[in-house]
Amino acid sequence: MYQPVPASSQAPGLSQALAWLVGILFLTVSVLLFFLGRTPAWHGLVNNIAINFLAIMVEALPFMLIGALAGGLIEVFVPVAWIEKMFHRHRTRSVLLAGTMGLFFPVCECAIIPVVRRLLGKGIPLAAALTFLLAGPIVNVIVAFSTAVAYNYDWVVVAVRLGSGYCIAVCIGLLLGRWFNRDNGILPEWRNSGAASCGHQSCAHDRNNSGALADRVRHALGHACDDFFSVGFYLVIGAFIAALVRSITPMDIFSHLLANPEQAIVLMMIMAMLLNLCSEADAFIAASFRGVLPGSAQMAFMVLGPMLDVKLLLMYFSVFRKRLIIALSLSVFIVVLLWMIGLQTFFPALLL
Amino acid sequence: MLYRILKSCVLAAWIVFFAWLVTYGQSSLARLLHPQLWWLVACGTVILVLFLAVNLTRPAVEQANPNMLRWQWPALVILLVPLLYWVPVHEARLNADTFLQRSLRTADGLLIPGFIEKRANGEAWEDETRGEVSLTGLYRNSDRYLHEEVEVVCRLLHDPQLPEEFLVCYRFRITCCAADALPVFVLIDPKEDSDLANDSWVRARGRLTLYARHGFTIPLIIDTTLSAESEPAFPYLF
Repeated sequence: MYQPVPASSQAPGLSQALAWLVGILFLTVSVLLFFLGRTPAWHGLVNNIAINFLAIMVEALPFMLIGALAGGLIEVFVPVAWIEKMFHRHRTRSVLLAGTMGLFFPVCECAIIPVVRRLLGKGIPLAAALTFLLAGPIVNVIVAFSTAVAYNYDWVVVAVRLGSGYCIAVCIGLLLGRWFNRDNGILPEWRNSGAASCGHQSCAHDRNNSGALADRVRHALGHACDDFFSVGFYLVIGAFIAALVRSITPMDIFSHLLANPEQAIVLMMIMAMLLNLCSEADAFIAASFRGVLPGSAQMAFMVLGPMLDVKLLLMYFSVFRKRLIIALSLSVFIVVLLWMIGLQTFFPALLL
Repeated sequence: MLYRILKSCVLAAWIVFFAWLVTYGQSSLARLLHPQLWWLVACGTVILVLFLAVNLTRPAVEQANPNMLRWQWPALVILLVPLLYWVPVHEARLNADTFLQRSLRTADGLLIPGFIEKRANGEAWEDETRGEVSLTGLYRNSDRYLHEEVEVVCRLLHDPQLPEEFLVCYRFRITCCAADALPVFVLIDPKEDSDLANDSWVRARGRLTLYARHGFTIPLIIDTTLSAESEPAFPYLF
């Protein structure tokens, strides 16, 4: 019979005391700001933060719920044997395959963490999981379409965005796959594939694939509900930070700091990390910089954002160890930066 | 048991909020999210209902770890913080401050227009068939309206940095949600001085010309008469 997740895994990644402190700190700041918004001096700013915060949550939370549901279904209905057949025969091939999974399984970055957690629990190799994590929110048909609309059906931009996302994700998947494995990269509860892959000793659904459908669906919903509670509060904190940054950062400061393309690329990458926009909408923000910034800087914004932002960084704590999170963040930032500088240097006319 | 009740309360609160947004609160939803994405919130509501049903029918786990509630309550309360912020959102609007904060300027203070995609000639936009032209329509079909009498509904902004004492007539255009809202504006050269305050909704009627500077071309409505207007049901452009 299904048992809910035990307490120890409810705030994984961060120690229990640290997670508690972070939670209390966030609650204090957010409630204090809410009451400051009742005073005339703060009224406008807090209203602005509130609109952005609620808008991000109302858009992102359903995606996260869908992702959690998909993760629960994967947990119960995808057999470990299938994962082993698809991903364990050849390491490089599994990474290349994982980079294309978004095409068949279009998820944005809010939904991808619960899915990746469950895939890791099922035994997918770490390198393949990282590749899917990074490529999934970019290499998918919804993002391709929104990018095409934002850039007036300029298919070169679409191809460069999806191609860059795929290549960078594969590079980082292969790179980090050499240094990290399931033992030193992910949290213990997602480490052991097989009978207790969900971390619940009493579940054992891989041994009981023949159970009644209704029971298995209920079981999947139980896992999905646990995922919602263990990842959801990271989403709230990330969305709040994003709303705060979106409300206080004037876009105009960027236009005064853009002395050269390399500087523009770095600034747009930082902006992508801070704004936490959905990968299905960020192309419209990037396109608003047409004629102002070089194409490589716009591309850096569209490629880095779905791979690394504040909200994602917080959600990584629900599945990866701190060392891997640091390595992942640094490698994503550096590889995207080098890739975009390469684009700017060797194909300056490609993205005008 | 208490922990499970608290989790159920969190789920129930979000269910009520989402269900209200997609039923009675659609005008409020339109200030946060693109109206065509209502199904996303409906989908979220259904999933939350399923989670609530599962949460209420499965065994409690406090017996296994009596300290669970002590450590986990902040995570549960955090999930309710967005609902607390619904209180100011109810009356809040993206305003002139947001417009200026999200706009880019040239060194001499000219606002730079955001990118708006063109459509094939002759293809009408939904709001152009009602005799009123949208701000995006003026960019998309500027050739069609050039030197013609046009009428737009927008919010007013007196911007002292603008050249030639033009006024700004602005709205926000969203793709998914209000967080990605981008300013869309045209310039207005009013017939006579306007005493309408910043952020007031106006109906501007005048002749369309184009103002070109620094390589940017911005629609400019000249000989404009301004009249106060009530806020539209959908304040954003799409």
